[in-house]
Amino acid sequence: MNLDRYHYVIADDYQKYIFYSNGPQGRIKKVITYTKLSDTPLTYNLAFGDENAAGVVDDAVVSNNKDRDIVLATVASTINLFCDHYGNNFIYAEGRTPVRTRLYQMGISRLWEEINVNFQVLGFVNDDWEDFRHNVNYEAFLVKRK
Amino acid sequence: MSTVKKSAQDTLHTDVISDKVRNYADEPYFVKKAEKAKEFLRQHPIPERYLKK
Repeated sequence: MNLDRYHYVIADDYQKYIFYSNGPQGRIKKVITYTKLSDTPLTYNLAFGDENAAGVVDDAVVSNNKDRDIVLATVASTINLFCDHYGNNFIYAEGRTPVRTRLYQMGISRLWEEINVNFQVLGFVNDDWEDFRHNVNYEAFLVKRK
Repeated sequence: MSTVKKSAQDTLHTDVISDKVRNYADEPYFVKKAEKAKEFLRQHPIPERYLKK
């Protein structure tokens, strides 16, 4: 993907990534982690949150830093890097709340032409997984690099 | 000053690999997210039709 994104600090195990969102609300530290969920099929969890000055991570605050697509592109970029080291396996992601998950869905839709080139994206809706479609409010997502 | 601390002070102009990144394995937020994800996939496993692709 050739979208604008933030640079990040990569942990040497390639499972943790740190970057800084810059915008009207200031500089916000963002943390992305990948955690193995299961071996069969090999699936990882992508979690993403803001780390405050006390070192506490959460995604409860809508930072409103006017850079949501840059942040999403940054997260997508880490998926590529993670897959380079851990293989093209399923990666699970969901927001802390339905509203947050909806924001992810809208972000994926906006960047779909770029995302679809390299990733298979599934969404969970109506008690089943399906190929990602626009304008559907999914409960969770699975991403796999093609 | 380590690379990570410097990065925390300055805008990052490039990607940096570091062995100083905090281990977030015990961070409650990430622990809860992983537990919730495991439970969700236990209840709603990936369909076979997607595993064969």
